[in-house]
Order: sequence, then structure tokens, then C-alpha cells
Amino acid sequence: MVIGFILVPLSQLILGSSVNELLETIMDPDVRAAISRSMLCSGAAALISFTIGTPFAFMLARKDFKGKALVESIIDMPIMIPHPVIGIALLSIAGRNHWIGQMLLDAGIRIMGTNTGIVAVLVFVGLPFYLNAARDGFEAVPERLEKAARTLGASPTQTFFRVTLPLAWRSLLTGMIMCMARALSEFGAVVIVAYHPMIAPVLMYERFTAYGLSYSRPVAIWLIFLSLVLFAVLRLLSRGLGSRES
Amino acid sequence: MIKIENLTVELPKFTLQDINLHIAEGDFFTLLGPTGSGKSVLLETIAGLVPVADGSIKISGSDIAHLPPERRGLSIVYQDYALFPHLSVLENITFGAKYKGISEGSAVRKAAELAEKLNISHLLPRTPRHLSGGERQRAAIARALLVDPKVLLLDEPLSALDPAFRQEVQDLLKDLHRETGITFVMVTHDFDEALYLSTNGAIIKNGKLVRKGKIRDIFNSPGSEFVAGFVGMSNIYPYTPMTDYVKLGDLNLTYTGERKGSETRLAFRPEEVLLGSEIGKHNDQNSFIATVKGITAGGFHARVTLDYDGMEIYALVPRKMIGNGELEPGLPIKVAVPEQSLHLF
Repeated sequence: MVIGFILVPLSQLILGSSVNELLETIMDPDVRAAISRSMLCSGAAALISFTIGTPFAFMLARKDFKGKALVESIIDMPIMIPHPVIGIALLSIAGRNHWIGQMLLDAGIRIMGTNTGIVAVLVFVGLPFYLNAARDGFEAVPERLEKAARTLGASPTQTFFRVTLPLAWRSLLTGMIMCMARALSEFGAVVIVAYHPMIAPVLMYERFTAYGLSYSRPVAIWLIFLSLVLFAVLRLLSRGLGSRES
Repeated sequence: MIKIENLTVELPKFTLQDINLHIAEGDFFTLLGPTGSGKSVLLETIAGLVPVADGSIKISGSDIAHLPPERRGLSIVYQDYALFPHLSVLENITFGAKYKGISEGSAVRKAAELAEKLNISHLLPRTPRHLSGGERQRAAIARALLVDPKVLLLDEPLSALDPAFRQEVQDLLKDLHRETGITFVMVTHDFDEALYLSTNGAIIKNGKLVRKGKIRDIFNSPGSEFVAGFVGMSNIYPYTPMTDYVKLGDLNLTYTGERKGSETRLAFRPEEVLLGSEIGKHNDQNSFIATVKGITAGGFHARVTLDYDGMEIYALVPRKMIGNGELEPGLPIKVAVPEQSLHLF
């Protein structure tokens, strides 16, 4: 029943468009641009989450400090807040009236209606998924391995790259996949910050409101198909490396 | 070699207080104590893995209390081995070589020599998960020795091993200590291990050292009720001192040994209590009749609880004594506690 609940609407969606409609849709430059932008911005969000989130997740896994529970609750906030609220919140600090917005504009960085804005929104919504997976992965590495490495002469950085990271990388990859998956499906926050340039979910919404279901459906099918291919490749890559390691 | 002075360590829920210890070069030193007493914290503090709040740790005269672990020249072997699961046994053993300036070729040659000595040469290409407990511990010891440590720290190295491997690794540690001449500092809660392996030791309780000295001396003259209980001297009683004997209730036990005058307790080990036919013609000194209250049979020995005028006395006897009609709960039996078994503190 559970599988049916997921598969019936999706299969109806996929079977609802003809091959010709699908081919016509993918030849449309606007569709290709929107799907590419979705993929690239989501990938960028995952990479940024990896870069800024990895040291933070490691600190959360290894250190106990006052207010840690509060920090962890704050990390989960983007999961709970309605997404248009995230868009409004980001816009409110990105404008000229806020010192952060002013600083960004002075540095030539615009958030409203740009790819930068889209990536910022996607990092905001995807980062909690990466942080939680990475922290769990680091926590699963016994601290004694790191201690043994230190007494054998490795510095903290050398220990991290030679012991901790090789043992936690699968969780980090899972976190990146989850972050990217979350980013690919984002609509509510992006539509407020950057209606243009369009990402695939915004394009689908526009086509649905302007022309109806039959125009938006093929875009959705292509997005699902390409996302499936991408995640399958990432999962295979993760398993392939894992089996070689064991 | 290792000189610890006024060492204090403050952790969120535990404190090591005012530790003073001197471990001679080449010694096999044991830190003993019950679970949660702080012995592993002290070992990790020596290794540099726990920050020092106050005091000094000197090795060969240099204070290393605030050096990071990688610059202390000590290695540690944990009870759960702490082998890196993503590396082969060879890669584990040679892990520290590059940080200690040992070339790859020398490291591999040295690893092969150590593996041969530890009888794990055939395991070098395998990953740790394919090894038994004893093999993992050997690999962990080889890894720790490859970097030529000044001191080898052993955190309960035998407690996770099956009894079959325990004796084997125990013998191996003894041989390695003799052959390498390295100072070994071992943490254990097992006094038998300490007696077998080490010459000197200290007992730690609630973060404080309560006794230090030669292991044999600690074993024979524990000096306090806690240490006596810890080393298995389970018969401990308040007594009344008399000129050539001591009075235990209405029992007079001959004791002509040394006295300081401050002693309040009399103690003797259960294995030194003689029962029935164990008491020969010439060693029936300090003998009396008690009632057998209970018998708990173990593998090779049986623990007998005796009652003498409401006082419980424990004896450890060979298991073969059970079932020969001599020891029956509720029946009287002759008991002897030889004078040389009595300890006052």
C-alpha cells in the first residue's frame, strides 16, 4: 500500500505524456536551461554544504559544549519552517536596507533574481540534511582510532584525512546526495528569491498556471528521469568504492 | 624515566587529583584500580590525549605535560585494539612510519620483522576484520612498536581477549618487554595480570593514588582496607592487639611480626586459609573449629564461607575437596590461619 501510494501517482504522471510530447519538450531551450540550472545549482549547493558543513559536522560529533542542543535545533530549523518564509527571510537580509545586503551589493553580489540567490536558497534548505548525515557519520568513527593515530605521530589534520574521512566518507556522500535531492525539489523559497532565471520546478509551475497540466507534465517527467539517473550513478559510485575498500 | 608531579586533570564529571608517580626506565609498571577509578584517564593524560590542568609529566627530564600526543614519543595499545579498519594489517603497522621519518622501505622491513616476532606474518595483507582477537592485539602491539616509542602504554590489553589468547598475549608482552627494554605502563583491573607481568605498580581510587610500590609488596601488605579488598584479601577484621598474639573476638591468633602501633585491621587471603585435611601435623598453628556456611564451586577452586561465632571467614580450596565428605554445609571443620598469612594495617 505504501509503495502503491508512491508509485501510482508517479506512474500516472509518466504515462500521461506521449513520446512526441517528451521529445518536443526536451528540444525546448527554456526547458533544457531550467533543468540544467536546477542540476547545477543543486550540485553547487551540495558542494558548498560539503565545504562549509564538514568541519562544523565534525565539531558537533566530537565536542560537547553548553548550548549544543540549541545549536542542533537551529540546524534543523530550515526543515521545519514553511519554505516561502525562508525566501522572505533571505530577501529581508539581502536588500539594500540591511547591512549584510549592502555589504554583498558593495562586493558585487546580488541575491534577488540571480543564480547566486538560487544557490543561497538551496544551501539554506539542503544544509541541515548534509550536516545531520555527516555528523552521524563522524560519530560512528570510534574516537579511539583518532587517539591511536595521534600517538603514532599524526597531527589532528593528518588524522582527519587518513583515518576519520576515509571511514566517514560514505555518510558524507549520502549527506550530499540528500542535500542535492532536497535542493532539486525546492520551489517555495526559490520562487520568492529568484522567479527568473528559472529552475525546473518554477518553470513547471509557470507552465501549469499559464497553459495547464499537459504542458507542465513533460518537464516534470524529464526532471524525474534525469534526477533518477544522477542519483543512481552517485549511489553506484558510493557502492563501487565501498566494495573495493572492503 | 617518567616523573609525574602534582598532576591534576579536570574533566566534566571526573577529576584526577595530585598524582605523584615515578616510573623507572625499562620498568613494567601497572596502574591498577576498579572500573571508573581513573586509571585509563591517567594513561591517556600521559599520552597527551587528555589535557593537564596542573602539574608536570617529565620524560627523561623534559616536561611533556603540554605537548601534543604526536610529539611525546609514546604509543598506546587499547583493549579494543583500535586498528584502522580501512587499512590492511601491514598498512596499520606502518601507519606511523611517515610521521617519524622512517622511509617506506625501512618501515616495510621493520613491519615484516615485527610481524615475524609476533607470529602474524601471514596476516599482513588482510584487513583487521578478518583477524581473531589475539591476532588483532598482536597487530596493534606491532603498530605501536614500529615507531620506536620511549614508553609503551597499554590500556587493559588483555581484558577483551578469550582466556585461550590471554595467556598467550600475556607471555608475549613479558617477552617483548624483556627483549626491547622499553618502559611499559599497563592499566588493568586484574591483580593476577599485574603480579605476572610487572615489578612495580600503583593503585588508584576515585582519581587518587592510594598505594604505590613493588607489586609483591602491595600484594602482601596492602596497607588499607580498600587495597586489601582490591588485591583479593577478602578476610578483613578489626582486632585487639596483644603482646604475642592478636585477638579476633574470642579467637587468639599468634602474631609475632612487626607492628607500627597504628594498625586497626587484621587481614588474610582466602587461599591461605587451610581447611580439614590440608592442615598438616606441623602447621596447625592458629587453628580453630568453624562451621561450613556455604560452598561456591568454581573451575579449579571452591570458595568456602565459614562461620566462627557469627564472624564470616572465606577460604579458597582445591575443588577436589568438595564431594569427599569433608566439606558439607552445616558441618564443623578444622580451620587454620598460619601466622605468616596474617597482615596488620
